[in-house]
Amino acid sequence: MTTTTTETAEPAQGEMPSPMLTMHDIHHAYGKTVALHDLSFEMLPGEIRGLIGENGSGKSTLVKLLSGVMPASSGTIAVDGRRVVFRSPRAAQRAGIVTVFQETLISAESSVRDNVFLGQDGIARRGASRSAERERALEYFEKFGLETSVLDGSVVHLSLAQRQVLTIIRALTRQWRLLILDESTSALDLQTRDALFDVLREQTRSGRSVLFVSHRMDELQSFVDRATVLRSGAMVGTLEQAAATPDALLRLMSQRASKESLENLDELSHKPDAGASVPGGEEAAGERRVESVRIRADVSLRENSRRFLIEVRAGEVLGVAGLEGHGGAAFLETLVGLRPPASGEVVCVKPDLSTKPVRSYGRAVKDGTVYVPGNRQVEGLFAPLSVVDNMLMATMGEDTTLGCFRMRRLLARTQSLVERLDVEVADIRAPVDRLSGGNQQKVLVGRWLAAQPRVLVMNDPLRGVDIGTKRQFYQLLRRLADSDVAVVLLSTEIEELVQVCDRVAVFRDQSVQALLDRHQMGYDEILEAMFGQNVVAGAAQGGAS
Amino acid sequence: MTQNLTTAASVSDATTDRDNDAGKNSGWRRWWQPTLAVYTAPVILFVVVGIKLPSIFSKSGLLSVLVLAAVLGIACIGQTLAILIGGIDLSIPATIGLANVLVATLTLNHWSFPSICLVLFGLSIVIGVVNGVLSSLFNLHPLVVTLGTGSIITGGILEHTHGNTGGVVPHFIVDAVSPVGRSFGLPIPASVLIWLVLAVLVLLIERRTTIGRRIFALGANPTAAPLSLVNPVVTRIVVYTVGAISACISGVLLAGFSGGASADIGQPYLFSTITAVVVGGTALIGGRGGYGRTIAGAFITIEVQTLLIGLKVGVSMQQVFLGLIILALVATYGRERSVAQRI
Amino acid sequence: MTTVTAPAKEATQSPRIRWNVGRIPYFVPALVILVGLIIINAVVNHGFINNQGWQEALIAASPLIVLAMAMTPPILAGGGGVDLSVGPSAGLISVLVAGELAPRGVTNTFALWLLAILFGMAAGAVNGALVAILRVAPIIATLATYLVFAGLATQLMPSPGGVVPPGIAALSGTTGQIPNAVFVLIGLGVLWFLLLRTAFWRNLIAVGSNDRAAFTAGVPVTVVRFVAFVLSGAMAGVGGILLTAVLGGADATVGPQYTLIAIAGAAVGGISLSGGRGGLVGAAAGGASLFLIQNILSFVQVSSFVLQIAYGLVLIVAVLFNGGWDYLRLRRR
Repeated sequence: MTTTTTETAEPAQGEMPSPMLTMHDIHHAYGKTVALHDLSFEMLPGEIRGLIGENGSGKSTLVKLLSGVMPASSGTIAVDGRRVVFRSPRAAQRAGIVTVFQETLISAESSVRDNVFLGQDGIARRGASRSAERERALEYFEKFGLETSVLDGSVVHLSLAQRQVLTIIRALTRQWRLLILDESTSALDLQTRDALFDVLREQTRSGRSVLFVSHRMDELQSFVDRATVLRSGAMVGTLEQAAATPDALLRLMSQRASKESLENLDELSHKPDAGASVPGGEEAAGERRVESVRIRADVSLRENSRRFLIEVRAGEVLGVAGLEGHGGAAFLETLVGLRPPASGEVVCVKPDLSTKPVRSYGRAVKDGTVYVPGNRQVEGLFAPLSVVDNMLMATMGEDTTLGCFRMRRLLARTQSLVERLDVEVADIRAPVDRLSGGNQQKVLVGRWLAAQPRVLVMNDPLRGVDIGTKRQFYQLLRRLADSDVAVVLLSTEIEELVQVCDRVAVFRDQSVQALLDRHQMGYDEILEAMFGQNVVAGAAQGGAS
Repeated sequence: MTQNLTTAASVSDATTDRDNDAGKNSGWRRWWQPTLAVYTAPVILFVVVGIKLPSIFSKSGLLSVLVLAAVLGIACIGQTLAILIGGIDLSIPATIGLANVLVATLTLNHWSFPSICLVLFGLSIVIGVVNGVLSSLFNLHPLVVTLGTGSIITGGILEHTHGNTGGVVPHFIVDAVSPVGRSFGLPIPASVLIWLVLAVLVLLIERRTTIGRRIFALGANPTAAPLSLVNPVVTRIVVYTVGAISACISGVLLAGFSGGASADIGQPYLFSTITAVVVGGTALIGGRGGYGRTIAGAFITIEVQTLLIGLKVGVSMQQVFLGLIILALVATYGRERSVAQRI
Repeated sequence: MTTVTAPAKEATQSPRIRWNVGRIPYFVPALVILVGLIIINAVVNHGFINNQGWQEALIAASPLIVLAMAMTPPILAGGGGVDLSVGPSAGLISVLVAGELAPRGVTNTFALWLLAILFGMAAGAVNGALVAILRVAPIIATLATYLVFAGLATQLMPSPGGVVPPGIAALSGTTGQIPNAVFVLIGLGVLWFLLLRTAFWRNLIAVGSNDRAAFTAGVPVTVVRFVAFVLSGAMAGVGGILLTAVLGGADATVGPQYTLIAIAGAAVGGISLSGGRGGLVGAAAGGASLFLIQNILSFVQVSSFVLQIAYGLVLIVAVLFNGGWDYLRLRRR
């Protein structure tokens, strides 16, 4: 569809239009960590440009620089050939660069109207009259399926999807020349998303441009004119739409063919099993399964969602996949007693095979089910506290005499965990926030390994972690599974699941769409199930009662 | 504020990590210099005061500074812990007044000192439980909760005594805060000794016990704490109970100064405890700092006061200077992160 | 939302009912409390209605009402915002008016008002600069200015006294049946109403509710927070004038006592201490409620001690109630 590009270029009378945005030689670092280097980037008027890259490839940094959240360490940004320095998002917006962030940033106490026109006013002067505001907002309300009556209501009652629509309308109602969508279509249903794409296609005809950051291959393929791939802070290539196939993009992103990773799977995930009982491993495992169930969840996550049955078994790594908001994370929280199921029950099978319902988080931990939460900064780490504190916070009570710590034992236990997890740390008494992200994550996992769990539940522990650490983690998980721990791993990266898991439960619409075992769980199968396109026969039934 | 600072997921996890790496460098630089400064400042300040007021170098001069610092320092135990969990305790002055009045009036009624202590201990637990539970409900701001309980405590003690707060103060309390007082045959007033013991105890609890680390954990990350089996309600109850107990001890000691009692005697301690804690460098967002710093802060506060008195600065101008000092200190090392850094 | 592909995207099925629940303004509980207290006052004290007791009450309550209002914008601006210095700042202004300006011959009512408000704004600007620009925690910044203002006031006027020019003294009188202080409150109300119509209001609420959202959407967060403190200072200036009128002079020790009651008033008035929710109506109602409690209790001649207990209880019950109500409101989906 290179044709689209030429079409949009037509207003410029056939010749190549001059770029509306130029980023030249951009370099940005956070402390010592380089996020972007030698980045040069151009956007043409009327262009819809896709931007894709793995987590940590520098996409978000690029977006932040363009949207004025922070200035670049060095390099220049020019709009229409004139150099600009954005000191705030407000300044960027004055230059016509408007951003919709991934996180739905809304003010919960303001009305829907005030949220839409947030930031379009002066300090005290309104940006537009009430009637003009109404007109401008309602134009998009209709297109994106929001009810008109919502306009002056409270934003509290909007669903996540509606909130995301709201942040998009907030951007569209401005005088924008470059719209940046930073993974901000994830919560939209297909119809709204397509409506948005239509609106944007139409508006770009007048020379406006869109920078579209997305993880979704189908969106990139159907929507953008060109797609640019970022890898570890640098641009690795830009593909015209016709060339931007998932395979090509993936290759650029990871610099390796996706087939290769599939081979990886066989090599890695079967290796441990091969060591244990090579032939007929499946049947042997089948025998074992009956008594080795550690948790049985027979629940529905929401009142009107389909009920399903999942058994978590000792010695396996159970993967949890699914688009965000489709129930994967909710399922984990239900497993560990943080969230009561809408109906049904989560039952923990104790060592003596007696069963016990999981009623609360505290009880779950006592029974050996531990939970490594997803967002480590918010839910996990105690940033100013030491590595020792962070690792042993949940199990400190074990090393006390008369209420006082036995420091030596405490330190020795930490040290052994540090060694077991291979945490790179100079001083275990130093604050944990001096460690790199990957090492912080290890500390967090260490906190729960210290509790010697029977079931280890992890919510996307490897997000934003470097490859080396990931490999170590995969091996650790296999080792844990081999020592008869049941591991539940939620991951947003499908390849990761393919590589380490024995089974994968794919969530969609708050229920299990497919429960894939080792023979069935390829990258494509998981992806298809995530998008609800292809339910693998004989898997999803898992016991949907 | 603490909650606001850390809520909400970040735009990108990957970059958040980097943000923190960046924060770690500047944070490190920002913290260690004041750490050294905070412990050397009381000594330097003492010498400065001595140049102006040579009498402070005498034994009685030194001891009177110590005694004043002891009373303040003990009252600060609770404030430090409250601020460490990201809260604040405005009921400390009222509790000081409560203990102050009770020790005088009950002694007048021929209660024995141990039984008075028992009563105060019981009341402290009640105060701690009420503060702890209320500040856990609906995320109520401890500022308002302790303001309310403080008002109830002061009103309660006044009503109980019908406003006759006077009484008798046991002589050993007077001795305890007198610079010429002795304890165990040593020429050290008992109040200083008590502070020493309590300080060691608090520092031990902070560093060497589960509850101590849990206090820091709750302050450092209130969302993560419950997930790591830190019970926020219990922790808060403990913190506010310890706060009430320490305030009671201060209140009892204060009775020794005046020889009488008043429910308002704790009022100056509302702001001076906060001052000492903040000057010491314990952060209001919680989880950073500790009682060691507060000890230094208490000395600095008392020394500045002594210096100002020595310079014949009136009470009111002392207040002005105190305010300016707080500002100068906090503006250099107590600043918060800007919005842009939290995107 | 016509097509729903995931339950996460629930359609709003009965928007009307939901909006009604959400639309109950934050200040309704505070007004209910206030009306209840007025009724109790009227029942307990027949003079409250008949003998113009309400007039005296209103005049005496006016400084507290205004200072509770002054406390509001910084709290609304969020980020742990609170202005501990409103009391001392009003006290200092009162000292300046009655102890410095009036004795020096500045008796022009307009000039005094202007100077008082300007000084209040300057004090607010200092707080605002500390909090918004230097990013010092509001409690600490305003605690420091509390000490500075209170210290300066006692320095300037060690013992109560001062001269009250007639134009200011008239504020403690009445015009016909209506206490003159009411006109001040109405004036503030009108100004506030005008402010509500400007964009500043919605900027303030957005900043207090979610400063990250406001910042990324282009709201100048620093400026908005700064202005919130300046507004607070201006109202503290008004409070200082009223304080002078009510006291019939200036007393440096009185101002600081108002700070904590003003916070309490704001809290009773339904203003969320985490920011973004509340307004002047609630603060005024909260301040008035606190005063009426005092009025009732002193009329039935309970000791001032019981009064203090009652203060504490009302404060806690009020914030518990507001907290619980808010919890239910936000829970309702």
